[in-house]
Amino acid sequence: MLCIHNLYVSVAGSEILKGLSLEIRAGEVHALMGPNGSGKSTLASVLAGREGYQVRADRLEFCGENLLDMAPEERAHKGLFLAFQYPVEIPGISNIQFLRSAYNSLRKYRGEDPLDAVDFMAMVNERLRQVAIDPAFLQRPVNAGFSGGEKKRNEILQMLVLEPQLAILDETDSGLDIDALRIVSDGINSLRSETQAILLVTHYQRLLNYVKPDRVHILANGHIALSGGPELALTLEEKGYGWLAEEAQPQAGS
Amino acid sequence: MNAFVLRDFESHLGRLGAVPANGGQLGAFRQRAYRELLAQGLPTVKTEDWKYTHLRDLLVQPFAEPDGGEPLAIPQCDAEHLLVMVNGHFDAGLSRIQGLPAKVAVTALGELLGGEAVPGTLGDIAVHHRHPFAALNSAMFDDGLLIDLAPGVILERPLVVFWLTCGRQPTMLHPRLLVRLGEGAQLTLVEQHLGGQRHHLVNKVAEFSVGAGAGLEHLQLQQTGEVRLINGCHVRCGRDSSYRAQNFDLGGQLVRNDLMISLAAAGADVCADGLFLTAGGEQVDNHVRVDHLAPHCHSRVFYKGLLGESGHAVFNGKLIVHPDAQKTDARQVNHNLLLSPQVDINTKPELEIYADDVQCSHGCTTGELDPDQLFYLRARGIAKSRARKLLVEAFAGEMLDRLAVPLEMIESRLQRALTHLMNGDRREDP
Repeated sequence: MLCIHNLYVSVAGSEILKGLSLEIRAGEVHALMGPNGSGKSTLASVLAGREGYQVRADRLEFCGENLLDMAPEERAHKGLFLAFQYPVEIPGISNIQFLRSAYNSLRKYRGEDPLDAVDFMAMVNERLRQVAIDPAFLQRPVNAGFSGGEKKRNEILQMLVLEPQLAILDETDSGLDIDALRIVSDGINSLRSETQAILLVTHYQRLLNYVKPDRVHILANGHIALSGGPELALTLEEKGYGWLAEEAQPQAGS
Repeated sequence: MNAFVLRDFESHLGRLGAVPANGGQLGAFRQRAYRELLAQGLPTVKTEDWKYTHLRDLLVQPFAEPDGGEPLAIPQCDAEHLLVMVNGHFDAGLSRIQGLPAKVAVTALGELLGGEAVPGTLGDIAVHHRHPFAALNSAMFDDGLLIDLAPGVILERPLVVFWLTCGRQPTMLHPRLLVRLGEGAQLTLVEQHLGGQRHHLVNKVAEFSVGAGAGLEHLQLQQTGEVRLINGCHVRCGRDSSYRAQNFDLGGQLVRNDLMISLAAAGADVCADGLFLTAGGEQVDNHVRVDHLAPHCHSRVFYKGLLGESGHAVFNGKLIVHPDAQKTDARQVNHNLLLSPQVDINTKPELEIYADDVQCSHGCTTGELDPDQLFYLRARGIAKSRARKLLVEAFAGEMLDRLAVPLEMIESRLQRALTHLMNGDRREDP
């Protein structure tokens, strides 16, 4: 589904990703971990199409198509979703207007008629319950004045409404209390299927107690320094990222 | 005044026509205004308050007598109370005033002028020596409207006034409006200044006397096409009165709004909102001056500007707290959104405080659409053009949300103007 081979990304002349390779197949959940500043969020942003990066790669494909040829909205239409680390506040646009515009843009791309307000509300109400969000929340401006936890749950709500093929969750677990973490995790798990894939970008192992990954990768020095099963996250939790510098360096050049 | 300015001024003034010869009270009023005009001259680019408004081009063209030859487009309007002014004259056939209660008196000023009478308050609020165009209007006006609300009268439904300008040859018009609200009276006045295809110059002066405890909701909409509008609006607020202005500038070759508000007695409460759109070489100037003359008054000025390609806008907010105006609470804000790099905006908030126990603030921002907001919308599948439109509508929508009375006629005009502004914004995707 996602195929990255030798990805180089720089911003304002400084190189952040240096030959990163990663492959994610349908049905898989991958976790991308790494110390602060290792480039995890840069990777997530580049995949979603944020401007301002110099990007080159041998291959950067989503469902067999070159991502670099696609505008952010086209990536979304084809089923790529980024849950933002810092969801953006948009005063003046209500949450429901935003959700419906996004959902109907997707339907339009698929050649389907837009869903009317009543049918759309029925669908959204079901998703609202899943993430324990008060319906009054929909009338408020997008993320404006939301608490950190509300913003993250709002990202999950959007994900559940848009039902992406590949969901990239950029530190969605950070700043959540234990109840919110459980709600967010349940939301993520409900997206797991044979045809969908998830990339969890996280700094901590905590989320992985709730969402079991198939593969864990550690990003360091601009590339995947180490990959393994779920046990790799536990090792990290125990030994910290300092251990990585000693263990992973010899493999980096191989 | 130096000789150069005087010569320049007199050559302009010759084109503007002769002061009508009247006797009596009216004749004396005109002569006084004319002397005040001569004493200061018409403003030039060297006049601080007018330095961004290019009058020379407006004033050098010859003006003809109004001919009414151009067919008039009458906007659809289902308002219960409607006054239609054509070239500054009340048109009874197009107006609907049957439903007005007896204590709301609407008079064509022209009727009073025949008797060479000047209604009380006329010329008291528009300060001639500071506003040469108000002095010019006083010297030249030949008709207009007088709206009187007796004390305690509450007009439930909005009173809508259309100011229409037409004629085959460019003319200069001096329409006049005087609104007097007695103690405790309440009025919602919706004025729409609508233009045409010719370079008419409309020098309108409106004066509002808001009596003690009275409330005036005042909406103005300007969409003046090729017509140039100099729109002087002078307001005096009495004790514990409330004046709320909402001003929509949706386009026009040149629109210059002077909104001059005096909080003349304690407890007055003023809110002035504005939204201006400009593009395609058009210019809109908003000058808002709030004079706090008395203690315990409250004022809010909140203007937003949307500038498309080759749009030119001026915002000048002046807040003056006079020595007696202790316990003043005053704020003014101006936010501008630029939709193109080819725009020209001059924004200047000014604060003068001569009292020591006050709360005052001012601020302005000018910038482009937020790239983070744009990316967020696009990352959810909303196409770039649609995302831009949503964000622009959100910026403007705040002003509709603040409308005291939701008015479909203003909302639909604003929607169309926004669509036009967005479509005219031809900046290509990077």
